[in-house]
Amino acid sequence: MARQDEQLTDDDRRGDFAALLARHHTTLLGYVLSLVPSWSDAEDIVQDASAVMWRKFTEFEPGTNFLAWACQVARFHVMNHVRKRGRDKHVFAADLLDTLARESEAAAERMEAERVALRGCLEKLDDPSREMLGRAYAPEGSVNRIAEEQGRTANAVYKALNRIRGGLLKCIQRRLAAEGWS
Amino acid sequence: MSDLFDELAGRVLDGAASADDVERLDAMLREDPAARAEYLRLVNLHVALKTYGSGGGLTAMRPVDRAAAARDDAGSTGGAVPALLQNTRTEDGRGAWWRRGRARVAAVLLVGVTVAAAVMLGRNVPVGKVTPEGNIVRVGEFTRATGAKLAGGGVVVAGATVSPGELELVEGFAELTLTNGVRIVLEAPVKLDVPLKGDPTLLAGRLVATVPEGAQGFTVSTPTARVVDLGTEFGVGVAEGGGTEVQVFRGLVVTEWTSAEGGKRDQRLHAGDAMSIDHAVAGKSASAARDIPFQPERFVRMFPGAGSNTQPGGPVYNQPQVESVRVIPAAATGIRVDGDLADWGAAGAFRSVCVAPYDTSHFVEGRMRYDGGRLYIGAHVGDPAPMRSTVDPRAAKDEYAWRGGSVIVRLASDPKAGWPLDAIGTSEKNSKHPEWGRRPQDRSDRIVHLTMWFHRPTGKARLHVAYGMDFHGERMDPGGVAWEGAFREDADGLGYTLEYAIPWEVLNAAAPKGGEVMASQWTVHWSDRDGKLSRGHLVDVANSAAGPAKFSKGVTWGKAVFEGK
Repeated sequence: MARQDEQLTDDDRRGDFAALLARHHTTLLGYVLSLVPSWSDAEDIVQDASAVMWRKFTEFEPGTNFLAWACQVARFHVMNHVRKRGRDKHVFAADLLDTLARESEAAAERMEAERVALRGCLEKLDDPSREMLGRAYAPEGSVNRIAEEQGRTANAVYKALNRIRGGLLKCIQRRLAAEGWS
Repeated sequence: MSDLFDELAGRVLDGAASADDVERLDAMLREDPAARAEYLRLVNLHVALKTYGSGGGLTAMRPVDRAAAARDDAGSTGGAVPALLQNTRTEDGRGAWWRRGRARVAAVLLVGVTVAAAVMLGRNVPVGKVTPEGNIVRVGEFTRATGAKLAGGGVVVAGATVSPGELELVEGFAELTLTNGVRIVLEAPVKLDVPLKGDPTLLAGRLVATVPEGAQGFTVSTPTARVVDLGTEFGVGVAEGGGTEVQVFRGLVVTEWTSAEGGKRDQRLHAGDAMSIDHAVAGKSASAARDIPFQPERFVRMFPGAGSNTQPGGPVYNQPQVESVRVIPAAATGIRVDGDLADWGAAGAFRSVCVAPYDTSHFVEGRMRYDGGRLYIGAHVGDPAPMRSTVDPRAAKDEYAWRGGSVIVRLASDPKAGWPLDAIGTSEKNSKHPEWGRRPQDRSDRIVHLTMWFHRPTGKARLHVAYGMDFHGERMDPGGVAWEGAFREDADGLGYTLEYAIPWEVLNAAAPKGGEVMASQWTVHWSDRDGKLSRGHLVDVANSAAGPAKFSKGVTWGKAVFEGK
């Protein structure tokens, strides 16, 4: 079969790339974050990987799985990042990274469904919980800041956040089970 | 999972983990597949919350979101995946990624990723669907957008691809151009389902569709009717109860519905026709149809609500294009102040418009005349909610006279003040210039702000006058002087004409001589339908070379050039 992209203009391809990247950005970020447990590092890696993906987009075969391809590119950048960090103990060991990467790729579709289900769960949250999440996940938000503002210890805030997140995860599982996910 | 696992994973994801924490979590994950699955789910949740929270979406949920969630709870799985959690960023969603990575994003731009940049710069692209093979499913794209926000907070930008599914706009306007060339202007709040194949269904709100040659037969379905185009421009609205209104601006449409007797009915509508189809009565499947008067304003474009803009005047909707206004001697026969500019002549008229898509609905055509006794100001203003102001600064202290819709003309009535005008308000002062706003020229009695509006409760033309950049000496409807004002609403209800004659003594000036130049600036405010709040404004007659036009910076004012006889 002739390659579909032979008839595509540059603008079409740029549009396709933008759309695919936008479509999978959150999943890709989650994938990288599962391997590199640092939000800022994960963002940097996805950004670097995105630039490389754009340059190599002509190598991407339309009709194949963009996310799988993007994960491969990102994984290469993760490994580079880990190598650069050397003896830094804030990263997982290489063999665990391999396992997590494999399992994360396999779970990508479900993860997307979970993010969709999350919206309904957030709506059911009580106002104080949503307020705390809003503060914790705001661009400049931090647990320490919340603790300071509320006169609580950081540990107490962590525990409260964990309780909220745990509740959300349970809610998400219920919703997915209702939709037939195992 | 154990509390310890939750604690460790939480600290890791919150960026607060020690090396020891990571090592312990590493050990747990290595040994237990269930822990890894749980960890991946937690990461996923974290990413979604972080994305959601970057635009304040966690703390600013709208009632409409709650309603949508309630429907989801009821088991509905129809419609598109909520864009917010899928692939859009919120209005302020540039977030840390953008801020920290600006340099690298710039590098990407340099390689020419024009469209990709729209995504990478954090703009929202409500694309949604990709086939399992990775091909994009596209039904159209947004070709214009103004203040347009999606349910959940995503911002619409021109150029964004639209994929099949439900599209809900909660603020502003967006123009969607389908792959068949049909242009649909959506006015929030509106909910439209655009399928991959077939025609869209309007679930709530209003749209105006323009159908090009070759796309005839395009159909908009609603809960009660089908509107089939035969080459035209038409508007369709779905009310809260589900009833449908159809109005044809150009061409011809056929509206189909099910009659009260259960039979299929249809009616041809030509340009200037309008009809409504009531929603089925509970327990019956039938609908009742009737003709209704054609009303242009039924589908007219209002500025979006205040939204996140906290400026009392609302956003500025234009780029100034006019630097000077010719002020022409009034005809010897005089000017009758009656809200009709027919006796003015067209000389010296200027036109200033708001940005698209408001350019045809929000504009001002201004004129100035003078004679030995008075300054004359005339204007025709395009305004979907004309002459609605209920504002009365006399009745409410600190109320802004301009707020309910108005025209403000500012003038430095002393020609010796020169142009550009060296006067500035205290709001502009800084540590380098603490004297700004306090200098004699800043407090001159010959800098005059004339605010003109129609006060609906009394049915009268009103005039508010203030002086200097400090707005001292305020006067409401100045007494003892022969000022006049008159308004007239346009026949189609989409604008108004104002006419004022103001004695020179109100401006603390004698009649100017031909050739004199006075600094001047015009501002027009548009209100909500209740005439209480300004939704946006236009500033023109401006010295654009001096930067953004501001009333408080005299140097940015344009000029009024008085012509000789």
